[in-house]
Amino acid sequence: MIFLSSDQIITILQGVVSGITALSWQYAVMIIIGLVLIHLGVRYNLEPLLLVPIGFGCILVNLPLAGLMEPHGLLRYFYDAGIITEVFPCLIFLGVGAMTDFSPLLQNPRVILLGGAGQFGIFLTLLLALAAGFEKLEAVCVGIIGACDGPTAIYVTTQFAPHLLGPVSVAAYSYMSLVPLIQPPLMRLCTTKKERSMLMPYTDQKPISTTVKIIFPLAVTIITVLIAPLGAPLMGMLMLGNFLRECGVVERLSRTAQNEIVNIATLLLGLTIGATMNGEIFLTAKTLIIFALGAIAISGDTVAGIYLAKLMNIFSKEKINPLIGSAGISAFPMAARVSHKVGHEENDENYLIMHAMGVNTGGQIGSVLAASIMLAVLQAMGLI
Amino acid sequence: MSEKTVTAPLPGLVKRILVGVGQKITEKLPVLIIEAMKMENMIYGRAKGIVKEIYVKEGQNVRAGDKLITIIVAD
Amino acid sequence: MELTNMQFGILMLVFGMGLTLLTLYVLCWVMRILTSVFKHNKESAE
Repeated sequence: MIFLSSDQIITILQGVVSGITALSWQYAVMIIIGLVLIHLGVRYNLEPLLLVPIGFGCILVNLPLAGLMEPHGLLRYFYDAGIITEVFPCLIFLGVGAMTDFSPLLQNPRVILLGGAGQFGIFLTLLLALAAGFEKLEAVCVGIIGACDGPTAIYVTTQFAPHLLGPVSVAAYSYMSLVPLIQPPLMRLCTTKKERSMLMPYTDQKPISTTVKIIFPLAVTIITVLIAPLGAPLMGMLMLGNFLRECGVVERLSRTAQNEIVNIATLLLGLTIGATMNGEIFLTAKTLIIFALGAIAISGDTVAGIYLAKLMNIFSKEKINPLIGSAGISAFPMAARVSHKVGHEENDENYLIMHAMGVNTGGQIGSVLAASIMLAVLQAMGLI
Repeated sequence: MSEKTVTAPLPGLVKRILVGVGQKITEKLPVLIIEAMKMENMIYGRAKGIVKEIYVKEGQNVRAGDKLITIIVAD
Repeated sequence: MELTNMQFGILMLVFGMGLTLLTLYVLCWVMRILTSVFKHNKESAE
């Protein structure tokens, strides 16, 4: 070493390993959390389409000095382009609409009310969040976890409490993937064996005419946007997707919405949500409280759905199995499958899946509607 | 001797047929699998007897209420 | 009029839940009317 003094060599070495020396404990913990998310997705096949990009984004953003979320960082561009503008969640809704068949709901319209009961957790959690000391608009965003719907949660949180975006959206997606674990014990707790084994045959269902399927998304759009105009982007995209599917002349667009568009949006949305999980922001007591409240939110949804189903049975001659009530959330089609499985375990002649699908699609409309109406009420109160 | 016809309890795709004509079956034995919404559903004969006729093929779409198989019920 | 946090929460619960269920009830009737006006008649055509 003729050209360099020992001091210079040390400086260079320090520069080379500066990434490692800048690794604080928060970053290290977040990298481990990212690895756990990826592990859950890859090893246990738990919502891999979401958890893999979220986990990877989380790792990327917590590697010090990489600066991916700094101004001019790659993930910052994705964030500004797709999350701040709400473009990604809306594109996902376009795809979800194109994937959804509303026939089971149209065959049994009254179960759409269960899709409203499945939003009770939003408002329950909102109250609890206020009691826990969150500000009004923050509490709205924590409550929206109860919509059990990633894009809706992101849509609302970006507008009113962007600093909570990481915890809220990760909680929403985590609990969505935990629906098959959280719901069954609650469902058994809230129903008797007799209620669970109640048969609901599907054979007497009439097929739905194409005309109805075409008019339905148009009618829903017009009615709901008139009532809650601020929800128009979400509801409009959801119903546009469904219209593409049902109108029968743009199958190419419908297929693109279901595949390419939703895949690209899911990848970028997941990655960018992962990138909001910066250790210094994420690892706070607030995040823990948000996760705890999120668990209450989805439990509240489940219980409210089951009890509304029981209530409807009191007033109606045609009885419904209360187990399908818990499917009134947006997590599609997991919630419907859970209803089916719990019912089938109790009575193996029971095949609830199609009825539960009706409730589940009702839950998708319900969650977007509840979010839109919350925005409308906030606007009426002059808070936004 | 009576006959029992098993119908599809839900719409879906006949994924697998697990019995053949002439085969003896019991109440607990699944006769075929219908896939609906990416879930496999076991369909049971719910009768002890012999399979008389099978009306569907693997890979066929069925609607709820469609005939699947007929069983000659053993007394 | 400045609402306390709890008043705000309860208002949201009542209006949010109420209006959601009410709108869904309207949609329920829309579906009933649609399905009764446009009966499925493709069976013969197919």
